[in-house]
Amino acid sequence: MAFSAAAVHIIFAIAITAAGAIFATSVFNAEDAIEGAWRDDWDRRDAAVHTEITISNAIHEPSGSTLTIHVNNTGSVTLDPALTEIIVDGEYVTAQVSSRLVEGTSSTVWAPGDELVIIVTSITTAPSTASVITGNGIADYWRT
Amino acid sequence: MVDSTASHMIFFIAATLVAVSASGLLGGVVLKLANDVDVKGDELRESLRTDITIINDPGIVPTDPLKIYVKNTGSNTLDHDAVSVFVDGQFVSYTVSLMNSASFWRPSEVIEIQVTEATAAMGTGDHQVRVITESGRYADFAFRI
Repeated sequence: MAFSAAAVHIIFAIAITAAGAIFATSVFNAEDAIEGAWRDDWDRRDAAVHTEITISNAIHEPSGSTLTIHVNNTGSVTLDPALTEIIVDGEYVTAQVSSRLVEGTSSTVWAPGDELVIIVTSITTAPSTASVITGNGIADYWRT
Repeated sequence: MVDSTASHMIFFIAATLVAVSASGLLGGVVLKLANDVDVKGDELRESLRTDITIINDPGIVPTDPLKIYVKNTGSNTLDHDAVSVFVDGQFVSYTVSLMNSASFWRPSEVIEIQVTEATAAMGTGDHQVRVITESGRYADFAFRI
C-alpha cells in the first residue's frame, strides 16, 4: 500500500510540475508580448502628443496648375516628410505631390522649427481648403 | 502471502491508472488554458499595435459618393477588407481601395473607403463616421454637410 501511495505521489508531483511549467511559460510569453505592445502604443501616443504642424501659406499657380504648401514643424518631434498626406478641397492628392523639400533640400528629416514646402501638381482651379497630415495622423488645415 | 502480494499488485496498478488518468486530465486542462492565454495575449497585442486615423478634411468631405480616407497610424499591417464602417450609427456597405499603388495596408499607408449606400440618406447637417478594424480599434470622424 505504501508503495502504491508513493507511486501516486510521484505521478502527481511530475504532472503538477509539468503543468505549472507549461502554464507559467505561456503566461510569461503573453505578458512579454503585451508589455512590448504597451510600450509601442505608449511611444506612439507620446509622439502624437508632441507633434504639431502649422500651414503658414498655400499658393496656387494657375499657369502650372500647382499648389505650393508651406508647413512648419511647430512640435518637438522630428517627422518624416515622405509620410505626410495632402488633401485638397476634400480629395486625397498625395499621389500628385511632385516634391517635398525641407529648408530647400530633399530630406527624410523634418526637424522641429524647419519648414517643409510641398508642391502638388494637377491642381487646375484655385482650391478653397487644403490639409497636411503627418505620418502619425496629426493635421493642420488651410482655408482661403 | 500470495494473496497479499496479488492484492498489493492490484492496488498498485489501480492507483497508478487513476493517478495517470487524473494527471492526463490536469495536463489537458492546463494545455487548453495555456493555449487560451496565448490566443488572448496575441489578440491584446494586436489590438495595442493597431491604430487608425481618419484624415479627411472636416471642412469639405466628398459626399457623392462619400469618401473616407483612413491612415494606418499603428505599427502593424492591417487587413483593409476587414474593416467595418458605420455612418450615423448605421452599418453600411462600401468599396475600399489602397492609395499610392500600395499592395498592403502597411503602417502609414492610406485606404479610401467609398460609401455609396449612405449617400442617398445623407442630408445637410451633422454626420458621424466610425471605422472599426478587425481587432476592434476604431476611429471616429464628425463632419457637417
